Amino acid sequence: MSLLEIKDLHVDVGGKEILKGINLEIEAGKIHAIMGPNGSGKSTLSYTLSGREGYEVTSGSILFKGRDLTEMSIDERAAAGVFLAFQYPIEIPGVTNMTFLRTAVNAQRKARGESEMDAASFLRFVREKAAQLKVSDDMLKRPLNVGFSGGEKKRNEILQMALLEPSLAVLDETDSGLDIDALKVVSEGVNALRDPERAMLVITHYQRLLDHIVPDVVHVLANGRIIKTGGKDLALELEKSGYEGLIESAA
Amino acid sequence: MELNAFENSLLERADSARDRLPAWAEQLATAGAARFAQSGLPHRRLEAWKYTDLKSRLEAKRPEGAQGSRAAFHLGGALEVILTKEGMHTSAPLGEGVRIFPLNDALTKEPALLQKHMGTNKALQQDALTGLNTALMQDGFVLHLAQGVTLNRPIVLRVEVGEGEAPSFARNLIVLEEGASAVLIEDWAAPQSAPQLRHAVTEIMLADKASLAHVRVQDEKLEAAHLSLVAADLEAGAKYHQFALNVGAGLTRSETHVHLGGEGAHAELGGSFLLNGLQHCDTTTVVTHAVPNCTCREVFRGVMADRSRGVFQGKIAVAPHAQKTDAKMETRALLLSDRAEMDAKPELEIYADDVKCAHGATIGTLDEQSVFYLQSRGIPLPVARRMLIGAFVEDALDVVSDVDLQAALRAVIDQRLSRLEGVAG
Repeated sequence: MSLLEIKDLHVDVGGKEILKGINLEIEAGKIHAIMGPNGSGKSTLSYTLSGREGYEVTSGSILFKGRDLTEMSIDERAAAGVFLAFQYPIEIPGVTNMTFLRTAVNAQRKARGESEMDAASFLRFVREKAAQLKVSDDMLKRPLNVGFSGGEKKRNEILQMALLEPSLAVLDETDSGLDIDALKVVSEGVNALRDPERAMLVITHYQRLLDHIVPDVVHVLANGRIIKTGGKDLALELEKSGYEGLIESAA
Repeated sequence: MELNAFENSLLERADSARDRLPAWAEQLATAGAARFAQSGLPHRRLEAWKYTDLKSRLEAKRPEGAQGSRAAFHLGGALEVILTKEGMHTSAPLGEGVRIFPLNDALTKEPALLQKHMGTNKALQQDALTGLNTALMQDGFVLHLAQGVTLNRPIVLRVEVGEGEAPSFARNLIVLEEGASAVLIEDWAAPQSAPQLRHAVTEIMLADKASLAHVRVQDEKLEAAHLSLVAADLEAGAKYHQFALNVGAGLTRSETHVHLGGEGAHAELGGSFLLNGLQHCDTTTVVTHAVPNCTCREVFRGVMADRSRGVFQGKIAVAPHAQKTDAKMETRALLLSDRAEMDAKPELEIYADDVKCAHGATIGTLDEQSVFYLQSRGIPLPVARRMLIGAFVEDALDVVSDVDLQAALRAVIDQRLSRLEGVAG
């Protein structure tokens, strides 16, 4: 059984159909990339998977570990192992990064019937993971994402992923706003989290991220449908020929 | 002006209560009663009471039901003073130069101190309700710090005066002589036996370079109306910090007047009101810059759930010669339901030409993106909402500089938030 099974998924946003019949299966341990032009529905797919309000599944199904994902609330999906790394992480003044991280980790542990981590053991846990991602103590103490640079925000997203240990990580345009050095740190962080038990869905407009996070499968999304699926070479092909030719030949 | 039955009953009570007072106080009481008789209870046609029509609201029945006992405000290491109608109990000696009395004791034992200060604040002299308070003053406390005395730990004053049907009129006086410094927390968490109507007037005199951090925590039962008026007079270099946390009572008026009367005086007013059901809470502040080189900051945060209503009226007045005034006032409100209401009326009245004055008022709802972000990390919706509301309120706590005191207030706030409609669950 696949970890994630999406069948003929149709999704409306604000009364307009954005996803028009997506079929996608992802097995544990695999990295899938979804590429596509702006407005093709890439972000809609990531928000639909995480359960954001306003993304209405009108038909089709999403099974995650055999469970109907559409029946679960946002936080239930997270506790079940779905993680979305945001394209634009939200700034929340008044909530320190550390408090946020501990609340999130403990909420998920609680939802899974595990015991919560006390402050001291959590601190050790965070420090270890934070060091690998070059997340400073200062970044942990500051209000969540407030005043963080683009790179710091993305590193903080990957830190959350490292702490929450999801079985499916959806990375939404993780490369946007990153310079080459930041891209390298973030990619290394993601690669360190590759695991036979964990699948990733990497959503990106550009091929360059896939030089660093090498996918097993590449899908091209256009106008709400997956129009082509191939291996990692498909990304290189797209980089050369662009989306347009492909979209025309698919139409 | 024709008075209604309730107003007349208050005046009758004032008449019969007067002869218990010493002669000098009886005079003040008589004058106060006369002032109240002229205008009666304030109503919405008075600008200062535009959003809180006290006269008709006191006639209307307030919602019933206990506030729900919160964990009592607790501050480790504080000196506890319990004020009951029998008198006062302190947990430890107050120390050299610090005196605290129940009002009734002070009226007979400290006539000179009271006569010198009581009723001298200009903001109070025309106020009809203060007149009534003076005529009926019974509960309350007097705190005096001698010159240069610093209280080495905060005083937590638990007010347990007044009970049953009769309205309770508390009159407090706080006098800090030159260079004295104190932290005082008033905790008004009333049991079910507490009165339906409470009116407290607190007069504060801060001499040169005196410093008072003053916190009021109000969590009265829902049937109650809690009306408070604080009037502080600051002399040169004095500092007054006030934080008002209003979570209880069906009807609250939290009014503060600060008179910056000596150069270099600084006032900082902050507060937070967290309302539910049909609660109505009015925060009114007037800060007067009477001389040059004074500063003030105001930061208020209100959270309104269900059909509750918050009011903020803030006025900063700058006298013609009060140059180099630096004043800033900010109020923000969060509406958690479509039926909640907030009225904000910031006012600047500036007669000097070399000043910095700013005000800001915003009213909004919880940011949906932030809620989604927290939830997407596995944080359940009620917890996510509570975190965000707590963060919203947090700014106002900056007025309180002591971190332990901040934490003690935060505990009351968190507990209250978990009971708000649309947050609980």
